[in-house]
Formats: sequence, C-alpha cells, structure tokens
Amino acid sequence: MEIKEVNLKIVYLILIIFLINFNLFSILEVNDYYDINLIEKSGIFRYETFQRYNSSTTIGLLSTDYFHEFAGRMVLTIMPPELYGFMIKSEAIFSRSTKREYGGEFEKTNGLILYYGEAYLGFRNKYFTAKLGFQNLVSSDAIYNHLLLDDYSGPFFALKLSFIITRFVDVDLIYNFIRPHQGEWSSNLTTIYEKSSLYGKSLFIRKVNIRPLPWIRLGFSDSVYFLGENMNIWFLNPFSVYFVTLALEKFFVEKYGSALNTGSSDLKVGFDFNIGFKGWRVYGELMVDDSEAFFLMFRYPIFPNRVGFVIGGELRGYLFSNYIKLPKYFNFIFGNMYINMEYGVVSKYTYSRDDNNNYEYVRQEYQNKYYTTAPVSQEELNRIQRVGNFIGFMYGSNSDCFDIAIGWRNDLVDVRGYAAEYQGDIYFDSFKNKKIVDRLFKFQIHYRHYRLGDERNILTPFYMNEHYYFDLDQDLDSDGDGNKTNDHSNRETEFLRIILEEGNQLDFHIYSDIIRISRFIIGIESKFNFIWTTFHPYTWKEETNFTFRWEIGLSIIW
Amino acid sequence: MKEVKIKQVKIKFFIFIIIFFIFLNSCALKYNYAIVKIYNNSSVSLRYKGLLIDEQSGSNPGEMIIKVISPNKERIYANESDSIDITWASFQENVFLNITWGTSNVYATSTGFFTLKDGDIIKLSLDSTSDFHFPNN
Repeated sequence: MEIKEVNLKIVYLILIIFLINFNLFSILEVNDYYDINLIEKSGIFRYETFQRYNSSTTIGLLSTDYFHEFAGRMVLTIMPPELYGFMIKSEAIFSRSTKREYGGEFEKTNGLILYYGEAYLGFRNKYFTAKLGFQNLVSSDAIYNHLLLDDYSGPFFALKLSFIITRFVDVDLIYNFIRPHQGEWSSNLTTIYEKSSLYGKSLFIRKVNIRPLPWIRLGFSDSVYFLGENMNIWFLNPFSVYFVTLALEKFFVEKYGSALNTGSSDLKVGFDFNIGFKGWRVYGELMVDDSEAFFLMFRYPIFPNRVGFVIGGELRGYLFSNYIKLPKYFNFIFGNMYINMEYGVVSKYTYSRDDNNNYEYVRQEYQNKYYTTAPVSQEELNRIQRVGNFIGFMYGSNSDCFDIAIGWRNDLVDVRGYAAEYQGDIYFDSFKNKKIVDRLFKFQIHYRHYRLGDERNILTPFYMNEHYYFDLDQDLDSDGDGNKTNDHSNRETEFLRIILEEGNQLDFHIYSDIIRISRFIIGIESKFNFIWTTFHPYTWKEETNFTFRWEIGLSIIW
Repeated sequence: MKEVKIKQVKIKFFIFIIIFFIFLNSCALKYNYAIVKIYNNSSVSLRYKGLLIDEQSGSNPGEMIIKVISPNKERIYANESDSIDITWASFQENVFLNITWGTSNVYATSTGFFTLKDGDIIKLSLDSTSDFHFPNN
C-alpha cells in the first residue's frame, strides 16, 4: 500500500512540473526550421487515410550540421462508439535536440522536452462539424502551402464550425485565438511590451464554399486579424461582414483605442478553388491583404496593396489505368502512382501592418528586440527569420516556393483529394467506397525550390520602421491637400525583385508496414533530406551551404 | 540513309542544347552587393539607420522612395561595430546610401548620400562629437 502512495505522489509531482512548465502559446522552441512537425509538409505522402487514427512514432534524426534529434510523437483519436460522432484528438510530442533550448525542470530530463500538438474535442457527422481546441488549420485545399492560415506554424486554439447548407453551399466559421490577451488594453503596443505583458492576437475567418457541381468548389473568405481582446463582439457576430464592419469604423471614431481600431485590425480577403475528381485536381488560393480596406474600397492607398497566390495540381495513376487496359501487375504499379506540383508566391509587405516591415502576422514576435543589453545574435536572427513563424505562408512575405513530388502508395484511392475538411467535401466523401488495404507501403521523391527576397526582417522593432516621411518631416504634406497627417506611401508591392536567399531541397521519403498483429501495425519510416541553401545569390558574395539529414522512425499504428 | 538522318538529328539536338544553355546563361540574374561596416568611435552608444534611394521607384528625384535600412542591433555601443549589406539590381551601376546616426535621435548627424558600387566594402567610423569625414577622402 505504501509503495502505491509514493508512486502516486511522484505522478502528481510530474504532472505539476509539466503544468508549470507548459507555456501554452510559446512556439520559439517548436517553431523553428528544425521542427519535427515539418514532416507534416510531406504532402500526399503524409495524408492519412480513413483507416488509421492512432499512432505512436519514435524518430531519430542525424544531420551534417551537427544537429541531431531524438523525438517521439503519439497521436490518439478517441471516438467512443456510445457517443457516435464525438471525438477527442490528442497529440503529444517529446523531443531532445541539439538546436532546441531548454531550461527549468527540463534540465532534469536532460533536455527531453514534452509538448503537444493538436488537442481538441470534436463532433462530426455528414452535415455538421464542430471542433474546439488546439488544431492544425489550413485555409485551402493546397498540398504544401496555404496563404491565410497554414498548419506549419503549429496548432492554434480555435473554435471551428463547418456546416452544409445545401449541396451547393457550405459555410466555415473559424474563431482562432493566436494568443490570449494579457493585461489592460492599450493602443500603444510598446507600453504593453515594456510591462512585459502581451497583447492578444486573433484571426477570425468566415468562408462560404459554393459548389456548382460536387467536384467543383469555389471558396470566398472574409477574415480579420486583430490585436487586443480576443472576444471582440464586433467580429464574433457570424452575420456581420468584416469588410463592412471595418468600413463602419469611420463613423465610430470613439472606438479608437478600443478593441476595434483600424491600426490593429487587418482585413484579408481570399478566394480559393479545388476542382477535380477521380484522380485529378487543380487547386489555388488568392489572398489580398489590406490593413484598412482602402485598396478594396478603391480609395487612395495608405498602404501598398499586397497579394499572394498559390496554384497547383495533382494527377493520380488510376485516372489513366481505369480507362486503359493494362496487365494486372503494371496496373497495380502505375495505378497507385501520383505526381503533384505547386507554386506559391507572396508579395512584399504582405502580413505586415504598416507599409514597411512591422510584422504582426506571426506566431510569436521576437520579444528580445526591446532589450538593449542583449542584441540578437546572427544565429538567432537566421533561425527566427527563416521559416515557420508566419501564421500564413511558411516563408513569409516577398518569397516564393515551388514544389514537385512523385510518389507511390497502395492506398492511394482512399487518400482524400482535399485538405481543409470543408463540410461539403466530408459529405460527398462519405458516399465513396473505401478500399481496405492489408499492408501499406508508400514512398515519395520531393523537390522544393524557394526564394526569399529583401525587406522581410521580422525582427525589426517598429520604432525603427517609421516611414521616411513620418520620420524626417512632420510638416510634410505629400499629396498637397493641406492635411499634414494623411501622408501616404508611394511604395508599391513587388514580387521578389531582389533575392537574398535561395534554397533547394530534395527528399526521399519511405514508409512500410512490417508486422501486423490484430489491429496493431508496426511500420518503419525513413527520410533522406538534401538541402542546399545559397545566401546572397548572384552576387560576388554568393555562398552555398549543403546539409544532409537522415531521419528514421519506428511506428506503432492502430 | 537512316543512320545519317539519326546523326543529323543528334547534331541538331546538341546544337539546340548548346543554344539553350547560352540563352539560359544570358538570362541569368545578377545582383550587385556591397558591405558597409560601421564602427562606433565615440564614448557613448549610438543608434543608426541607412537610407537608400530606390531609383527604380520614380522618374523624378522627388518621387523616388527612400528605403530605410534598419540594422539588427538597436544600438552600437562604444568601440563596437556593426555592418549592413546592400543588394541591388545589376543594371543600376551605383546606389546612393546615407548613414544617419545619433545618441537619441537617429537623424542627428549623417554622412550625406554617397555612392556605393558593386564589391565595395566601406568602413565608416561614427563619432557624434565631430563632423563626419569619409575615411577615403
């Protein structure tokens, strides 16, 4: 009896330690180029099928740049048959890596850090889905990159409601709390920073999908990204149009300084589509980012208009093998092959609040920027600037990315042709016949080329970002209308005029089931990653680094 | 006859590839690049900024945008240094850069606009107490 009591105490102690050390919204350690969540970017290779919900994986990683990692993840999806439609999803990850900082109690575990990924409660049926909790949400059906909201930046605490209105229309409402508001609300963000409390950040998305035919989806989204208190009644209202709400602000001057001031609410509108069925599809996303809706209202641009788009497509072998008579063996090989290709580009100043680089659309700002005693080191700068801190496009503003992948998996028929899980897709997918495979084998060769342009420094504190006009000449009247306070920028957006970094990545990814006992499957997974990064390309200072990374993992799936 | 035809096709193919690579080479991007190293010679810490005239942004000098180049460090402490690098399109031979600095006001003192060429590595010593002179001149 005594031994049991001691054990319980240890369990409670461990629980308390973990609870104290979990910084729920911290992402700096996680949201790094060396993030093991990057595996999620493996496109169709990674797309899970309807069959397998739970898995536990142990991953080892070695790299030529003296980076190594030992990690594990456990994904549980509990769907009690007594409560049909309800589900609990949880994802826990532990990792020990040479690139991740640790402290506090994690020193006792020798740097083995535990954190979690997705964790939500959900209800899903044919017509309605609700999810509450930390979720990896994406804003379009693209395979690699999404512009408004990307899963690479990690799970956010959100309420997502999707429902189908008719076969032709379905609606998505996403109330996404990027960070909870701390302390009082002040329009002066610097004051809040100095008090070392953080202002809240939220992204609310409303999306209407129109389906003229079951295999054609056209999505229109209206979203607002705002700072301050998360529960903003103006934006919570599901029937208000954000675009109109922000325009109304002009009539409610007294609202300035409240949660709704234009300096802190950023409107983004988007259009996306996904067209295709039975083995082919094309998809795309377009996003217009505009802080004050002036561009959309066809008024003078205080801020440069900023856009981004993603376009891509996918072909699967069974599209051809269904119509061409092939030998059975060849049919099996060719029918399960796939190829996909995607290009995404985001123009300069996108995701920034001002015309220069005052970035707010990031998961976490670089908080030490106000510490004069400890300026940022070059290594830290490279890490934060690079990838994954943006809520939207992984590479941030003024960058592009091209992906191509070719692969094979024997359950390809079951792999869904959509990513964002709109209710219409779930509805039409429920009618399809599913194929149950005894054994899963998949491999993929993936190539990526990305480019990063200039003026995308997310570290720059905003006191350094004043526009030249505002800085030097308070009396300047740039448009000659007699009003000295409405000076506007003549800056325009641009697509990668000057490139500061280029990268090529080639990876081979392979997975195979080994043993199957009852419903448990033991599988092995491996990835060979070749990365070439060129700094200051096409100049005399050009310099290319090569890194090789090898990952191997053992999974138990049930 | 058939063999000759195949040979001709091969030669044409190779010529095509060579021309294609020459074309690719001629299309290759090129950028100019310069480094400006800044030393703080004064006894106090300084804030600084770079102002770069973007000549592509307008036809008249009044319309041109001045890009504000913000350093990564908020301040350079006494006897410390920092550097900024500038990349620009190769069809512009020169760009014009101005470094402004001060103890509290970034625009208290400035070098005035000076010319930067491809490959330049310029060293500037900032001192808030005296007028600025280029070390080269």
